[in-house]
Amino acid sequence: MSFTDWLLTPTAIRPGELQLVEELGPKARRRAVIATVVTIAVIVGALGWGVYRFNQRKQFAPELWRPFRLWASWRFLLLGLGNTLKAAGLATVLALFIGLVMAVWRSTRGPGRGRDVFAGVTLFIGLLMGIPAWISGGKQALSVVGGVVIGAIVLRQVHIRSKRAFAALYVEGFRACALVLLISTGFIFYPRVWPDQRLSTYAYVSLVSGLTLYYSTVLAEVIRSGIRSIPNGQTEAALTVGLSEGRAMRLIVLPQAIRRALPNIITQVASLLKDTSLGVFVTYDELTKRAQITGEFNSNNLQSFIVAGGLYIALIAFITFLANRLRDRQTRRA
Amino acid sequence: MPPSAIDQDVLIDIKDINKHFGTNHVLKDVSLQVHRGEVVVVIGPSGSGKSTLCRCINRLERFQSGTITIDGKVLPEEGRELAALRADVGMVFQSFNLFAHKTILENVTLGPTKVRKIKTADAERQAMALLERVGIAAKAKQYPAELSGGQQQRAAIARALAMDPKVMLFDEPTSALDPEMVNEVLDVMLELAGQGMTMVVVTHEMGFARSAAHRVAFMDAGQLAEIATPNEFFDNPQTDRAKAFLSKILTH
Repeated sequence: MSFTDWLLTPTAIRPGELQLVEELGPKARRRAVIATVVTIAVIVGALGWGVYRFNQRKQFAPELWRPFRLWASWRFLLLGLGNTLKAAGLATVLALFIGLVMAVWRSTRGPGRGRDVFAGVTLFIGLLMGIPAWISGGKQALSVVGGVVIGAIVLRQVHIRSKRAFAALYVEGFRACALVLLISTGFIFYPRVWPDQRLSTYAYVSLVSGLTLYYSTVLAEVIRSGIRSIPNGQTEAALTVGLSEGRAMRLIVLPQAIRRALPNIITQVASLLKDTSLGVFVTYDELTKRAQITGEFNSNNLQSFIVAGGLYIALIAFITFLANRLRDRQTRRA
Repeated sequence: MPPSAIDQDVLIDIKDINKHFGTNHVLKDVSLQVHRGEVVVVIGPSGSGKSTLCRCINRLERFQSGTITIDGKVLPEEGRELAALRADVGMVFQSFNLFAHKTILENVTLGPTKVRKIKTADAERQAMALLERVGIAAKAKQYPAELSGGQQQRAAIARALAMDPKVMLFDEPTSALDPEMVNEVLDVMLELAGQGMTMVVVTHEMGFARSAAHRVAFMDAGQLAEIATPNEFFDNPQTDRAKAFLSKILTH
């Protein structure tokens, strides 16, 4: 096979993928080869120039990279990565849960009985206030969480209209907020509501709540578009076997909707994970912060950030790998 | 197959129902009584309101006035009572609507286990018997997308039967099928009719109407224009609208 043949052989189309371009004619082939070669040349040139300048400025100097031959440096960064995962993990779970509820509420048709709204609001405020208290081990924590749960149960009985409106307000509102603002606001807000905690607690809680608020709205919309993609007949069939609307949603629509939304959900979760680096603004001790510290300590900021970037890439690659395996396992159905 | 004997007591009593989609008046004072064990086939041109009527019986469509009574009970408006009623009324859709993420067996056992609270093992035994009856027991472990249209529709019938319904509603069950698959579905329906199931069937299959129906209901422009035994209706239609409709479909 000649070089041009190899270059122009289309990658195999996998089931479910569309072939977007027809096979190339002779003229188009020549143009494609030239364009490809030029593009590669430009990219390699740019990279080469970068490396050349990098070297010229002595950025490959062994003393700048030496810290990363020590386990202590890696340990320092990996512990930061652990904190990154701690914040991202909790925020992901909370954001998925709230996003799911908001997506379902916003998808409910008709006026309905909106009694869940108050319950939802209470629970939500409870999450915002109760969980920080719980984490910080505050003595009032249990009573607050208990109170919230009881309040939510009582409020479920209240009949008012439209959880849709609440979900729409929540989603449109928090999605429009700058993420840094949400995080910073929490950092100022929580010490006034829950005084006398450690700074690191406030940092963790404000980062997690900021990420949760923002990403729950994004995930809500992603899941809602999944719900909308499920034909109405699925719900109707569920209703005709005697399921309630709620169970039809939970047992029939949501599993299919989430499966369809999965690629987008993964993208957003990966994005959430990277955005934990905004914890830098509230002194949260995570990977980016620690890369900053190593950089200042060893006077090798650039190299530290490059290493940290590699760690982020490795982590996201791992998540993507897991997500792809999950997807492949499920392609058989539907 | 001669239609089986029917009881005199009324299972479904539809009285003067009216339905509007916005300004479009799609059901106009429709009244219809279906007796226990009776097969009523509803026919009529597209847009005549026959599907809507069928969907009103289990309130998949809301209607603005009139009443529907099923087995002596007025059709509930909402909530648990409505869900309980729907559990007793089987429905088969034009587009099958099998649960895409569940196997055929899971499709059939879902209602019995989740709504009737029957144990999974018992529900599965019953489901396999039903799948056997509609001739697709071998497909039990497969997903709907792996089945042909005819097989999917037979699975959908089994799913409805698993709830042990008082009545079965069929909303154009063969309209989405390739021609060679229509008969396998109609055969199952004929067998059901022969066993005395109460059925309301919206269809374009005139052959089925002739052989299985106790009565044929002809709808046109939102009204129930004529209702008669198949022989009377097909051989001696009373209204001009029915004559016009029959002349259009029976020329080939």
